[in-house]
Amino acid sequence: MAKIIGIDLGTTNSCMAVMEGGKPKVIPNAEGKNTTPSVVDPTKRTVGDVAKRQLVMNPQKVIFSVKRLMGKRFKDESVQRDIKWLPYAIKEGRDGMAVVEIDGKTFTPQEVSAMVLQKLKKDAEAYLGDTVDKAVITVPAYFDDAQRQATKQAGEIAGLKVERIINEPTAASLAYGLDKKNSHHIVVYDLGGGTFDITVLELGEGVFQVKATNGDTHLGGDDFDQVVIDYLAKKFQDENGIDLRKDPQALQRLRDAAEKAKIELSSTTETEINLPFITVKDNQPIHFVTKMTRAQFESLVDELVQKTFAPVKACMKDAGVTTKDIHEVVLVGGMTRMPKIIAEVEKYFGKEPHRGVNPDEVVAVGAAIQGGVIGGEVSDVVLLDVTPLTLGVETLGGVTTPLIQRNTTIPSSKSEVFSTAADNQTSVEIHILQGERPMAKDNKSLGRFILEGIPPAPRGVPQVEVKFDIDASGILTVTAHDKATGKEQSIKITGSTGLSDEEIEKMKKQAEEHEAEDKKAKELIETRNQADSLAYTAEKTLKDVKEKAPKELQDDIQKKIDELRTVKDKDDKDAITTASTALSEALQKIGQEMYSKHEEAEKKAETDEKKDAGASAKTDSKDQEPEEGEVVN
Amino acid sequence: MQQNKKNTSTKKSSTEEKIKQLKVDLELCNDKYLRALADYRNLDNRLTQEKMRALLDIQKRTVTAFLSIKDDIDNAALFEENEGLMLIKKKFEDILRTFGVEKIEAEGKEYSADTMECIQTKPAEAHNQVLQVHEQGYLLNGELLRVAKVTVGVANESKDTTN
Repeated sequence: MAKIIGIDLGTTNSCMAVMEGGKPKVIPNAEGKNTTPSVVDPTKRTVGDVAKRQLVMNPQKVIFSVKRLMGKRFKDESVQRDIKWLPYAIKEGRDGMAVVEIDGKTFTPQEVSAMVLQKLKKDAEAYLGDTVDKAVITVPAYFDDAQRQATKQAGEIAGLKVERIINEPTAASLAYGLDKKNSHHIVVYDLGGGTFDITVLELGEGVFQVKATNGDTHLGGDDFDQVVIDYLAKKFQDENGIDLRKDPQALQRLRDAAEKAKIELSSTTETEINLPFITVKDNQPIHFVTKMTRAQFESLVDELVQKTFAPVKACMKDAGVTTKDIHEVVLVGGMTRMPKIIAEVEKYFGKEPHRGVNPDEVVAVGAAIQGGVIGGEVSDVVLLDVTPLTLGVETLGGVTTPLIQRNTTIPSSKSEVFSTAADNQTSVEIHILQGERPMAKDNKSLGRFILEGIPPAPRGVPQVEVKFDIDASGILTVTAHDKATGKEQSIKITGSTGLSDEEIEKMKKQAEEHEAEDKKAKELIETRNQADSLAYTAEKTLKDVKEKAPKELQDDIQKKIDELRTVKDKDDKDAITTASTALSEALQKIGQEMYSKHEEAEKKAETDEKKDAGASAKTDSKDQEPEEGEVVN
Repeated sequence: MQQNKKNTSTKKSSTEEKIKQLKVDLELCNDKYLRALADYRNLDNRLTQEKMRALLDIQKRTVTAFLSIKDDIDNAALFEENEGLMLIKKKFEDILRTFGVEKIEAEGKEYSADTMECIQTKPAEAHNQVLQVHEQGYLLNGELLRVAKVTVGVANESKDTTN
């Protein structure tokens, strides 16, 4: 089924998202960016970044901010105001509507917006690998019927069936799932690139209603950048007597630096503006290096920040509410990343604002959610469960070896091959555990069974495959299979996910609390297992070499094996490591000794032994005193 | 006898109905399964693509961050005929080349919005020709890494425009 995409058709930038597997996902454009500039060259039909790059070159031909003209009459006051600063020609079209004129050809704002939508549609199709012909498009809360109709027409021109037009603040609230909360009044504070909107919404029976909306159509992030540029340029001028704003190249660098400083000061308290060779004076290069603190930046833009609160107050008054009546505050627009704005909004409303979703994308995300509801995707999501806790088996030394990690989506299965811990061990015990702790005793035991009839063999040789399989209803089947004989044994556990939420939380919490001590305990066991394996290999080597190595060396190794065996079962990890290292070094001596003695004839045999000795030191198989029936990793 | 027959036929029809229902259910399940499988395959393909994209993106971001130093070195080289500096410049360019970074040749060429951003226009005889490069543009393995910021000549224009 073709998906319904959500589109935030913005004044400066546009963004789109779609529901996928029950979750909203922002769709990147063909250039790999999540937002596309709402800039169009209608004669060449170029859209986005490519069109934006020609703004200076063809100011009369490249259209931006066309949203300001959507569904407006030419005689409207706002249009008359915009004519004064927009570089392209705005004329009176059919029925007195405002249209754009380029080279004698007129374009309605709908047509221009449709070109943006067409690009988004095309990029979404390429991304999703499917046709996209339905959309939910957002508009500002203050858009009247004519403006909404015009937006809808733009969608239709672009070949999109507009399933619904929704308000931007409503979309932002949907993105935070506020429709499911029992809140009555929601405030949406939206400070974008070029416009500021404030809206009070009332939620009743899952339906959002706009109580009041206000704003400033010419206040946004660009103004903040300009303040910083002016400050830096003035500072440079005071020091060097040159106005950088008059040199396009220097201005460009200054603008980039100002934007970078603004972004950096959202996460750090100080930033450096470092612009070497910014200009030339008397044939000598001049560099510009200065520091800016967050406090400095905040005081520079304080006036702009405070400017947003006049509309906020007016809006609250129109809505007939006080800050006490507000249950939720939502932040939208890139500028709301600024800590000062977050703090001021929080101070004014006495409530921490929502800001988990990317403020540049939150409106598109909300539109996608609305699209998902219309398309049935949201309610029709197949709920696949996950395992709340890790499932594993006990291995030598009482360690839990996880097979299925927690949060794995089920149905799922996983298998791993284990071996025996002792020579001639004919049975293994499979002990199934649930929990996040590294040691078996700390986790919940789900069941155990024994696989018998393994043919006698040295430790580590038999191969027992243990398979965990959880079906969609959470029933866990554990099967152990001896690869040599084909013998199999299994157990079915029905209560593997049947823990209450509190139990799960408790177990997770315990795992976090005991993380450090558990790690220590596990390390000790691992060191012990390695020591045991090393002692075993050393004994085997001694048996193999017999008279080929000097007796004193053999005695030394035997002594070190005994020493290691004594310290191994104590709780001193360092002592075990020291004894292991000593034994491992002694073992290497055997290899060297034998190598020098039998240069030619026994070269091959010696290499094998050396390999054995080397392997014991490197691979460190995790063994300890073998216990009958224990599974060893 | 007749009763028996009737019973059998009722039984038969109810079994038939059951089979019919089961067939419908099976079809539904099969359809759901195929859809899930298709969704998975599509997701898998896309994840691979996204991974490649992400790798390229990281590479782009890292290389772009170093381009500002390249600009500074280029600027410094304009003022100082220092041999050491020239060696550093060359070394930097070699490293960029090994990453697949290449310069966008703009000066004297025709303006193209695909790789260049016009930050100023000046009256000139040759319309649409790049007169000056203010910030060097680069491609990374043929893809746009950073646009070249340029002044473009405009024929029959009365005054300069500045961004």
